[in-house]
Amino acid sequence: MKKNTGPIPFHEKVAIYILSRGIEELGTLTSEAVAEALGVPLPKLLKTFAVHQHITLDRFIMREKIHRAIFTIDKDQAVSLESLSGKLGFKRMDEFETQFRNYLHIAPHLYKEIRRSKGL
Amino acid sequence: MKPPGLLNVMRKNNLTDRVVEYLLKSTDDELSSLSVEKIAKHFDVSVSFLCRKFRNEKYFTIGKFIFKERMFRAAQLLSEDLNININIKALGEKMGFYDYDYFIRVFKNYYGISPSRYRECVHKKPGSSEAHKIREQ
Repeated sequence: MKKNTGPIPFHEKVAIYILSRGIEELGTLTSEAVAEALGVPLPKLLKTFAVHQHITLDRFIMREKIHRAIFTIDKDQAVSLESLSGKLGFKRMDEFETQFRNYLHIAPHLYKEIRRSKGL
Repeated sequence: MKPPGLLNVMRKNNLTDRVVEYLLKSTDDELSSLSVEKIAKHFDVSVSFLCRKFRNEKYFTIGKFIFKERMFRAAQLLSEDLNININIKALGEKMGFYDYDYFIRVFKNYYGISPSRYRECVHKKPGSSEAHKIREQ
């Protein structure tokens, strides 16, 4: 694998930190936890991230959670949406459904059906 | 064969859901060459009708939806073990981004990091000491 060289800008380090979390770690990840892990004050983190990445840190984390949900469904169509929702840190299933729908404009169970019918 | 008039009207009622389904069901190759014009033709509606209906019902433009799906599939391919050595330029082209620099720029805008860096970090094992490594840099 080709390696990137040169210093990594701070806002990219934040994205890398989030993207390299495992699914269960991501489920409990908050902006505060990211700030603590990276050793920066939360307000500075939030501001720098939003300015450079054009998305708030909370939305970035949420989007990544939904991405992981989709990855998981694609890999394992037998996965239970309830357990997936719990793993990703959603306290209620309807909260997960709303976020999923906001991202993909389709309910998670319908997405699962589509993937199943596509035979992926 | 075109659907009869009434059926066509009924189908238009849930057109946007069917468009979403059509996009999600498309293969990577189909998605790479997909355009609003092609989708409109497939569903036998005008481009302006399709765009307006999609925007009104989904609060999102259809062009953005196609773009987002391409970005997502690119990231998904990068995260698969099978593609650990995939050429980034080829990946961009597979998703319909024939200009390499443009692909790198839009990917970075969307995910916050370049495709090669994205691949590096998603292939890191969960629970690795990434935070410490990052802090040391």
